[in-house]
Amino acid sequence: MLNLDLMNKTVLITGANGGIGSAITKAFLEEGAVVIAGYRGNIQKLDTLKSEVPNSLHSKIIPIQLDLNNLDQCKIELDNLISRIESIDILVNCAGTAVEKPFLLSDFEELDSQIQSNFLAPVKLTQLVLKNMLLKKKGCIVNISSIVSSRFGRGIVVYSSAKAAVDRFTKSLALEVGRKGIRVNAVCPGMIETKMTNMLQKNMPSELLKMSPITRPGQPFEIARAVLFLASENMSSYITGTTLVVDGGLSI
Amino acid sequence: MTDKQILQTIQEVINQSSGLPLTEIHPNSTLFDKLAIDSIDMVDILFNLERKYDIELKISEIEQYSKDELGDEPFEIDQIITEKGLEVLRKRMPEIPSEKLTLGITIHDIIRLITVQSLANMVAVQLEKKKN
Repeated sequence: MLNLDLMNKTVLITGANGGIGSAITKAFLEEGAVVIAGYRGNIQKLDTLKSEVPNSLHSKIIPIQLDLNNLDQCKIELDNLISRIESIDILVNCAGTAVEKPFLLSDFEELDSQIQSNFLAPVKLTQLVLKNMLLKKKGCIVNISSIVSSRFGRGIVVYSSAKAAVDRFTKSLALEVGRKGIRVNAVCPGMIETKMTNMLQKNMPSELLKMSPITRPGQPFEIARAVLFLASENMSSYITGTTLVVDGGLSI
Repeated sequence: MTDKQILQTIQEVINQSSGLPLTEIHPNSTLFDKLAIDSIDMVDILFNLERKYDIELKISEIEQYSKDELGDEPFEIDQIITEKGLEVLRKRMPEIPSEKLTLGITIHDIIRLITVQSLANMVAVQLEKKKN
């Protein structure tokens, strides 16, 4: 049995109520971590998630409302939180939204919103959390990117560009903070069965998935396991600045 | 807390953050040029001092204080610090040799002039503010 050594580690997950986010939340809970579950609107999904894990783990989930469009409020929430829990060991930037629309039909507001929610929000939130990690000289950040950061992207031009920026942010930040004991990595999911990818799926040739080496869409738990691996100091202490593609070979 | 104690604490924090031996961290050493401290070390040092003393430290405040003191007079023109601006800096940063504060230096050069002693002075100012 592999020892991930995540017991009692404190993990902040944004978008913890989303398709992939809730799988990541569940995976960390099952490893004994304390999960600060960031959500924007729908807390009911977190209640559903609670019903899927043993009662003994319920006390290990701390919901926190984080509207990433209001970073000032996030800062207040996080400062309050950190004063209570002392430290955040792992940050998983999972929140994001993809809006499918031809580029030329998108207005400026929609373009701004895509950059804001998929790039600037995780960047700014990382800055808020990093200070605490820097003081401890220890920490791990996992950004949820996408294979569209380097492949595909029709109908989601700005979303895919923002994800490419997340990949670059991952690498540049890893360079800057590695000496301080902080690792930064990204996971790039392919076609995962969630609401968001169902929408992306419409924009890819239907035979593409069948032609990929593993001829099925991925499941959220398969992304969660990749995140656990990168978040575990025991498993990946020498890995930083990487973008781990988890797509069943779709992008080969 | 005496100025000497503050200076000693700063030397220790720099040592812990950058790994430089204490014997190389002199009061008049410039942080960036002489000690070759990079930006992430600098952030680390400032955060540690903020936590140790429960104060807020911002390098940009040196420029802001100087601007406030000058009032309507310009501190810089096209990023080059004016004679009046230099006068204020000389008063505010007496630890910097005056030959380094001469006409022609830009606002971006200020950060390169900061010494270990400058940092100690900044901490002392903030501690005084906190007391009041």
